[in-house]
Amino acid sequence: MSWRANTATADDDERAAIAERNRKRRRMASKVAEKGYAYLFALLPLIGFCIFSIAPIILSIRTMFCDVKLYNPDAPMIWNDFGGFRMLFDKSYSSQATVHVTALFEKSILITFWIASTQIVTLIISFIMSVLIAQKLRGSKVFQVLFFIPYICSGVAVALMWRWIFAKDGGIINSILGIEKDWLGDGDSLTWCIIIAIIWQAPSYGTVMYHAALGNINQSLYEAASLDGANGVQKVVHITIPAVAPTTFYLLMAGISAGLLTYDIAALIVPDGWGSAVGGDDNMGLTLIRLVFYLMSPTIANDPKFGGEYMSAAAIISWILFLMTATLSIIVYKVRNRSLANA
Amino acid sequence: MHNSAIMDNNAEFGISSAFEEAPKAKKKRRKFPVKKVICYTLLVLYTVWLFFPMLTIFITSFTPSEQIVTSESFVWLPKFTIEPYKQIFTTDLYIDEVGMPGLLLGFINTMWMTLLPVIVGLFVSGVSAYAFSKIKFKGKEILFAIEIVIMVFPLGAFGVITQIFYYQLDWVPGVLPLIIPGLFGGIGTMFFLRMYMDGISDGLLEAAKMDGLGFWGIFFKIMFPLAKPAFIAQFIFGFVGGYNNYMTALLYLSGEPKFVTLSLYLGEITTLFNNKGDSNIHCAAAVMGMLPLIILYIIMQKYFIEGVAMGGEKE
Repeated sequence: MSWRANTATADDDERAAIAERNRKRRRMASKVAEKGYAYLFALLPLIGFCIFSIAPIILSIRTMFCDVKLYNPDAPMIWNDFGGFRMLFDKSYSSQATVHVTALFEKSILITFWIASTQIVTLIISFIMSVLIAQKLRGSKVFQVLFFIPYICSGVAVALMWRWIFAKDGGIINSILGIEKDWLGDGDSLTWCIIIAIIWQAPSYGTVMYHAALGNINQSLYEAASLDGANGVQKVVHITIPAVAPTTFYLLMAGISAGLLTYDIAALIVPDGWGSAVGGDDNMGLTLIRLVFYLMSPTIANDPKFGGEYMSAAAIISWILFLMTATLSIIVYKVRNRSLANA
Repeated sequence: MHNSAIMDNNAEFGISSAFEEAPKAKKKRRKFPVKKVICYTLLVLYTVWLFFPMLTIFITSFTPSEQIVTSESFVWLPKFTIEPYKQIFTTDLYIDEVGMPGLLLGFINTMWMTLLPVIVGLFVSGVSAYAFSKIKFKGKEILFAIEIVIMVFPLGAFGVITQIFYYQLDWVPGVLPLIIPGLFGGIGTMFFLRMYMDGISDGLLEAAKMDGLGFWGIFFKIMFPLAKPAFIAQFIFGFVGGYNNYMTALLYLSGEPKFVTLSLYLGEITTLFNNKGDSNIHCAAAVMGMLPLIILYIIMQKYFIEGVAMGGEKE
């Protein structure tokens, strides 16, 4: 039986299944019914994936090469002669348009890489904190519980919090230092503010993951090392770090991917009303995802002359981001498998 | 072999009962527990770094606006007021538009928009995992291989461009893009649950079949109860993710006051209340946004931490 035949009857089956389930719950289901359910439910996640992930990806490929009218789905698709690519990579071409996409793209790549690269700091903090918690000091359980709290705070609330802390008038930092610096007022210091907000929030996940990994290390290794006269630092370098390497690689991949896709904090920490805009002349906090968001906003994507090309550029940026995160996961996946094999 | 354990005991002795042991200490000088002091110092410093920002917004949320305007710097001990919280619930444009404070409506919307896809999706993924783990059917290996390949690729980069698709379906603005995809369950979730279910012995299922349990009987009476920790772990991931989701809500729900979510409301708060000295309201909103999950977490912290630790091991 091909899976195509199954999908056609999936909806009917599901409805019938729900009605039947109540009536026949206690009766023994036949082997046939069991197989039917198994097929149906085994396929459902895949069907969902094909519809809601594959279809948009195919559409995004089309969008790379054709003018797509986002707000008018019935408009015909017209080949735009690599307009999106020229808009993104050719400075002389994009400078004729109202939005200088090339310049914005170059700027946002820098900002995005900058933000993503600080994931190393996040990783180091989570490692140190989880090693400290693992010392089994009195109250370490309390620290473990506390350190996880940032993970469950919404990015929006975290952005509001840091906006207040870095605020020019009456903000916490300025009050403590007794100065009146506009921390959120220029591109570089704003990016640092975004990074600080991320470093505040991100290590909580890594701490929990490392804690679990540390718990799996064979304790006799440490005892043997103690007998050999190893001190605490030596034990960490020669036993702990190699043993948690797979977790490190996983966290590194997840962290850098998340960093490349930073949106919430970058969009919300900037001063008022710049939620989806490019952050003023300084392109403050303009990450790649924010640029995509901006290029697809109604006023930009509906531009009669360049709207389609802006959309194409947005699709191309999405693909660049995808290729970066995918390459990263494949590399990390390979390295991680090797380290698992060595462990 | 027990050297380190004994040393640890001694060190602990030094801190915990130094008081009672004071006379003895004179005879035998105890080593100052340097390692412990360093550990505690770092842990406490990090705790301060995490909670100092939260403390400051908490204080500001109880500061009167006049004090914020006049003092022009952060007020550590404000005249206590709950005015900012009152203002969120009383003077808010949403009350005219939808007859309810935006924060409250946002909370209700966030709850159902999160719980519906997470619970239904978890059910579908769970049954799917059960099918892959315990039931023999043709093509299982091929299907599973396809799903593993899919799982390796991170698709987060397409989050924004996906709106083209929902525009074509004419689902924008509306809640369907947030709800419907989740109802199909997730391949990652299925994979994770399957790994857990593989640990459930087949003998148990055979016995259950002898007792006359069918497909659903086995799922609800055996698989679900035994794999409960895995389900809870995935539920927590889904719930926290959905509750804090901002970008998808912004893409598909903005401009529709009746569909405002908590994140959207918090994102708008600085434009809703934009007078000088309104930062106490912004802080109050941030506190209100964080509080429900923090309370839930404190009640169920064991599940949260174990769930997240388990969820990460799925690769």
